[in-house]
Amino acid sequence: MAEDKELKRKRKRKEKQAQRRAAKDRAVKVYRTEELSSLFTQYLNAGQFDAAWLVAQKLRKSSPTAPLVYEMLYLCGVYSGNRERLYEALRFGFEHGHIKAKSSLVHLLALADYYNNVHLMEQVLETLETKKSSFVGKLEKKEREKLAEVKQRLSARQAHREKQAGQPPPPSPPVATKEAEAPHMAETQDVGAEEGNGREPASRKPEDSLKVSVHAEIDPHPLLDVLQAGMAAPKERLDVALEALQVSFQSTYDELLCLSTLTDVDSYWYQQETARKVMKHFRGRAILADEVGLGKTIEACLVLKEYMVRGLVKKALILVPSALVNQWQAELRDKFGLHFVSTNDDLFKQDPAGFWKQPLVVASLQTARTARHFDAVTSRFDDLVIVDEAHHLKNHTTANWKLVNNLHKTFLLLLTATPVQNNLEELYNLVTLLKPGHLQTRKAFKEQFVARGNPFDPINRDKLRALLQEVMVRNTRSVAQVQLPPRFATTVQVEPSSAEKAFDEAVHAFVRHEAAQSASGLLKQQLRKVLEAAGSSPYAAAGLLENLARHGNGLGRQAASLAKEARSLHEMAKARRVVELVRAIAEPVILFVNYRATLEALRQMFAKRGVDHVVFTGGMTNEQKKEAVETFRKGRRVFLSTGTGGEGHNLQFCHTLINYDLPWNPMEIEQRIGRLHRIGQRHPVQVYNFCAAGSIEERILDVLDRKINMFELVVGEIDMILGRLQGEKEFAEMVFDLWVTHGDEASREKAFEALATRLKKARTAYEKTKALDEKLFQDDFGT
Amino acid sequence: MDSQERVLRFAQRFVECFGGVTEREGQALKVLLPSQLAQSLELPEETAFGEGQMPLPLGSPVLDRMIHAATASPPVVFGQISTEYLKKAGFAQILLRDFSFPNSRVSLGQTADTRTTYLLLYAHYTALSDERKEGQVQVAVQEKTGAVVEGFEDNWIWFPCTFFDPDNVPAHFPKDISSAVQAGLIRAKALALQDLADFIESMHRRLRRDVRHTREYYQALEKEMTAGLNHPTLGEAQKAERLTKIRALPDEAARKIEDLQRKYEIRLTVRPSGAIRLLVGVVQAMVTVQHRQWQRMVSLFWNPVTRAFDPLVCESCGASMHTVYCRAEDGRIALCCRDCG
Repeated sequence: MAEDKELKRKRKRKEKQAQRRAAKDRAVKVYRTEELSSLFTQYLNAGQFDAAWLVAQKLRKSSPTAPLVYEMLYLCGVYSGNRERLYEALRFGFEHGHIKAKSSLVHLLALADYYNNVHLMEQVLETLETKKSSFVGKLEKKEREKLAEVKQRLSARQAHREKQAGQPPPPSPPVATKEAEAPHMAETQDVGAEEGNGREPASRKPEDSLKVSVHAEIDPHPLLDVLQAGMAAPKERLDVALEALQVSFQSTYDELLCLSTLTDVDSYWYQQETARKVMKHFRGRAILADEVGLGKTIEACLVLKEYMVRGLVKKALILVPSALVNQWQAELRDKFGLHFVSTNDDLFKQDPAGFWKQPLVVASLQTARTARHFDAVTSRFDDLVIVDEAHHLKNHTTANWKLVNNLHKTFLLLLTATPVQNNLEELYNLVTLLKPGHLQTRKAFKEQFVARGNPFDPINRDKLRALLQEVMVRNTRSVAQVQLPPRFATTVQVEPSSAEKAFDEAVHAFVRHEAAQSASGLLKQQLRKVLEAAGSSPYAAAGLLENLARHGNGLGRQAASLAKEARSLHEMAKARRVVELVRAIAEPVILFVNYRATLEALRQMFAKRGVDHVVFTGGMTNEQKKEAVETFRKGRRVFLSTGTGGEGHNLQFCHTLINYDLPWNPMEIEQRIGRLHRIGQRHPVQVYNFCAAGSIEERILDVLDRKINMFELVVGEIDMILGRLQGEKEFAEMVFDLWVTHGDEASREKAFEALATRLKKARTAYEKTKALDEKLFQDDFGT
Repeated sequence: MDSQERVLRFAQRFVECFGGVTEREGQALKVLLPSQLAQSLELPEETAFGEGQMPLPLGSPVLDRMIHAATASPPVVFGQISTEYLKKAGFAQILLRDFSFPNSRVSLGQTADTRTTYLLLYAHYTALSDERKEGQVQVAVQEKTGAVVEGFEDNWIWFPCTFFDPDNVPAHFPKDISSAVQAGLIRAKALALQDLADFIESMHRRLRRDVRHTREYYQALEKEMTAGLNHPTLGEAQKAERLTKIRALPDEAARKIEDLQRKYEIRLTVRPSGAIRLLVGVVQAMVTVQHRQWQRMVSLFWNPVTRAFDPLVCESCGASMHTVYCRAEDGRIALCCRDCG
């Protein structure tokens, strides 16, 4: 009995203690609530919204369901004009049933729409429809319109999703089965709650439980070092440091941070907007399909640089046609301050495995796709991959497409002025590289968008355009308001001296003979270079012949003899003609030469004849190059430059160009012209192409100029046309093969005529493609 | 305040803090820099920024150099908080309010006024996924125990505070507070993750959506290709080739999904950007903890800024705690958190 009493007493004591504790907790809570409330009001009145928000969050922790918390959060959001906070406040209010006004619900709906929270939108709509009478106030006209707009968008989205999943579209909005409880926000809906609503229950998929991995690391060392050193600072120093960090916060893409780090880049408004759109809306995966000449390269490099400045890209791979590797490398270095290794560097030849491990690589697509390099390239993990001239990826059965498809990448940019060349399936192949499944399967795509018998013209055009607008930007000249002046070309045919002619014939016979004897691709390439050099000058050919002479065999002996003959020649008929032309033209002239030996010979001639000139070569330092351009700008007559001349430098103040020798690759001719004929050029550009009568260069000019009017095309279009030629041989290789294969004049004439016809057909096809692209994309894909 | 104005104000403060002289003229800022600063900023000693002068846009090299100079080394400031009055009584109730000792008994012993030091740590976090988010958080830590003191970082500003001249810092501050710094950064990481909750959730959503689309695409593709195997005109060699392609589809899908996981994964870095070390007058209370047959004296510190006892620190994992579990270890009591106790 005594024990019972004792136990009862103990129990009572414990209960009392618990009650006292609970009362104290309540008192503390009330005290704390009042204290925080008072602090909140102080902060709010002082305009310190961040501090006020923190106080509200504190109270939320201790009293998560209190209406006061909702009011505080809501006021913070409204007063600070901070959308995220307002969203959080309204969500909180909705979750805990604190929202009383209809307009607040509509506001929450609009914010849920902005943040793409479909589930919340559905719940809010359901609440608005089923519990309208529980909320006060009338909706204004704007709010009613917003409500209707969101409803419509939501049901369109649902219908699209259901259709994709093969289910019938949902019936009119379902009636909630439970009315008493406040709506509960959940990631996935309960199966039970949806029964009786006429909808199939959402089945859980494995990806529903997927979470991104979060790798967090802390770095105490900067502070520990300071503490160990015993360093103290004044308060102002700390304030400045904290403010510096605030200034440096780079969260939004509204301002491009990289612009002030660029050198000699006049980026246009549409290029900057494109870069923003790609990062903000397309999240770094897009097709850049601007019309030729509008600067897709600049746009892609802006995205690259911006991502690098923000720390989002550390490894990048750029895949381009072989002819553009050097140009890309130079532009990245000179304009964007980025040092990329390339497949033209010694490192690639010496240590390919080490090369592919470099973080920043520009590679020839043709090289990267080969069996030798495929595995090394596809085992990289690149943050950003850029593919220039991405129409080379139009066919999913090619090695090009397979390479890009197998690359590991976070961001991907595909650059092409003609995403559709022959049929819509090419577009499908490009988009599938970016986002597999965006245009569904190939079969479904064809069924939905390709008309039988007309692979060019899409059916359901509007739907296709809507899908493409999610992955593609295409600026047109009319939208960008960019117009380039015309360009004109004149061929200057020069009759070589008899000695020069004899030398040329000897070289040609030698090359033809050796090319026929040998199957070695490397030797053929060397022989082709000899022919090209001979087209420039005997001095240029001499150097290459001396290289061949090292072979030591019959080939070597003959090459040595020809080299000796070349060095003994002193006449240059073309050079004399150039001097005459330069004297006849009143304006500054850029004179391009492919070979240093030829340049040196011209330089000597200019010096002898008193022609005012400045020299520019690839071997000069950056400072020397800048000085040379500046000297020319200030009034020198001739800018005597090797083929790389002016890459990355603004030469648009000049509009007359002389091609002393002609590269066999039209893209290189294009690049030379492109130094002058580009955005910023105000005058028509005049191009003088020098060639010896009867030479290969004359043939090339005949094909390119007379047959397809290459020099009147917009910059970049020649590549569009060349890309359409059958087979994957470079144009220069085709020309060489024709020249060595056909020994006599008549068959050579016929062969070149056939090449010209193919080019003409390619041009016609290109024009057709251009028309199709204009029809399909119009002006709606720009920024 | 527009961003340009903000940048100019920062530039003005920066130059003045680093020993330069400034003069504001409307939207322009004239500055006279000490020679060392001019050298590090790669500017002439006399220069001007703003409208009609050298522009200072976000991302510009000059602004980047200023930011780098300001943040290269986290500044540590020393100060003292003065309180007019320190609580004298009522600690027993506060002890009951602030702490819970589920498996032991406590009794309050003597109290005494003393001083201790707190580290107010400012930490900068950067989260990189397929976009970048950054922010700043503050954490207060008691330097002696390494306990994270919530509320201190918000309330200390309401108390009079004197900052010591860097050359005249009193000796009260402990030399080695690496565990306090560590505890502070761990808490800062948790706060950063809280701040980033919406961002992380949006990445989860994007990942799930993209993975779902990818899986659906490859499943549909596999279905179509498998159905196509029955085509009457398909030869054996073509069938074999197609089967090889079908078998390769799961690997291809897995690679794409791996790429998506890498794309959306979040790399969070938390670094200290500065600190204030504060000397504060507190009340030390000696508390006897009784667990089974063992007893132990524990010091608690009543903090006038938070008006509460500072938490204790788990002797196993170092986490701050208000619910204290006692564990017998080698004949003595170890104080642990719930997970360790």
